[in-house]
Amino acid sequence: MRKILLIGITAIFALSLAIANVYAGTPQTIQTTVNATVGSTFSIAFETNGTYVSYPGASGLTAAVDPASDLNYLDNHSTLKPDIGIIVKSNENIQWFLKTATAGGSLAGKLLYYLPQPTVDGTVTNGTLTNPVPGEGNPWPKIPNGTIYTSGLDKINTPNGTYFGMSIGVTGSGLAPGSAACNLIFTLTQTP
Amino acid sequence: MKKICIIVALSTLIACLSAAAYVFAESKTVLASGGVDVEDVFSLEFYTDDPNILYTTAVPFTQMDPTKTFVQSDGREADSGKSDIGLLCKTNLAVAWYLKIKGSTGSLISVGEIKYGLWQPWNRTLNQSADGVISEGAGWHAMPTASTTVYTSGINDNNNLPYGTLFTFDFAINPSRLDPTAAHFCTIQYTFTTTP
Repeated sequence: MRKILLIGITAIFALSLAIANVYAGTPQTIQTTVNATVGSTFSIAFETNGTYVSYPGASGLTAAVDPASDLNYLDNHSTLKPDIGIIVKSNENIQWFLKTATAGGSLAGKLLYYLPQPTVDGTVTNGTLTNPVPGEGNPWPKIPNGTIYTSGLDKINTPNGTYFGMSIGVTGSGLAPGSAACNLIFTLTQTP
Repeated sequence: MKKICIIVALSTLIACLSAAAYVFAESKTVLASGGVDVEDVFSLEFYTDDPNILYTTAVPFTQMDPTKTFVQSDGREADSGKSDIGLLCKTNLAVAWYLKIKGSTGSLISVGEIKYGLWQPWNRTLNQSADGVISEGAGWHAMPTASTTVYTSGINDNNNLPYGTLFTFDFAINPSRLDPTAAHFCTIQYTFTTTP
C-alpha cells in the first residue's frame, strides 16, 4: 500500500537584504560661489554727538570777542573736548585732501584753528597736517583757504572714517564793534 | 464464474481507485526564490523646497556698504528667518558621517573676512533637531581654507532616510576694506563623508 503523502504546496518568498557592510560611503561634494561687489564711499560730515564736541553738527558757533585779544575762544569752549568734529570716509584708495575756506562776512580771514593729528578708530593717522598743532601758549594759525590735511594710509579709512577734532578761535584784531559773521567751509577732495 | 468476474472487477476497481487516490494525493513542492536589493544611499544635495532658503550654487552680495562691517547676502536682513543655502544629507549606511566645509583663498577670505553661520540641523525623517554635534558650536565662524568638519552625525543621523538631515547655512562679509573697483568671489565646497 503506497503511502499517500500530502505535502502542501509551499512557496517561500525570500527577502534578501543587501548586507550593509561597514564601508566608507564615497564622499559627496557640491559647491557654492559667493560673488561680491562693494559700493564706493567718499563723504564728509560733522560730528553730531554732543558728548564728543561742544558744537554738535557744527551749528550755532558764537563767540564774545575782545578786540584786544589775539585769541578769543568760542562760547562753550571746553578744554575737555574740541569745538567741532569732522568725519571723512573713503574706501577709494586715492589720496584725499581736507580743505577749508572762510567767506561771506567780516569774520572771513579772522578765524583761527587748533587741530591735532586726526585718528582712525582711535589711532592717530600718518597723514600730514599743513599746520602742526601749536604748542602750549603758541599762537593758533589762521584757518586758510586751502588744504589743512593730506591723507596718508587713511586714504582707505572705512568703516568709521578719519576723525578730526577741531577748535576754533577768533582774533579780535581789526574787528569793528558789533556783530560779525562768516561761513566756514570744509571741502573733501581728491584734487591737491 | 460470476463470482470470479465480480472479484476481478472489484479488485480492478479497488486498484484503480487506489491509483487515483495516489495520484490525487501526490503533491509537489516548488520553491520560488527572489530577492530585493536595498540600495545604499549616501547623498548630498542642495535643498530647494523652502522659499526661505534663497540660494544654491551662487550667493550674491551686491554693492555692499563699506561703512558696515557685517553684511549679509542680497535680500537678507538679520533675523529675517531666511537662510542662504540648504544642504540635505541622506544616508542609510548606519555609520557616522561628517559634513565639511572649505573656502577658496582670495580677497573675500583675507580681507573680506567672510564668515559662515551654522545652527543645529534638522532631522526631517524624525521631524526634530538632529542629534549630532556642530564642531565649533552654533553661530558665526571664520571660513576655513582647508576642508574642515563642521558637523558630526549623531545616532539618529546615521540612518536618516527617507528625508535626510537638513542644514541651513548663512554667509556674511566685512566689506569695509575691500576694493570697490574689483569683483570679489569665494568658492565654498561642502563635503559629505564617512571619513573623519
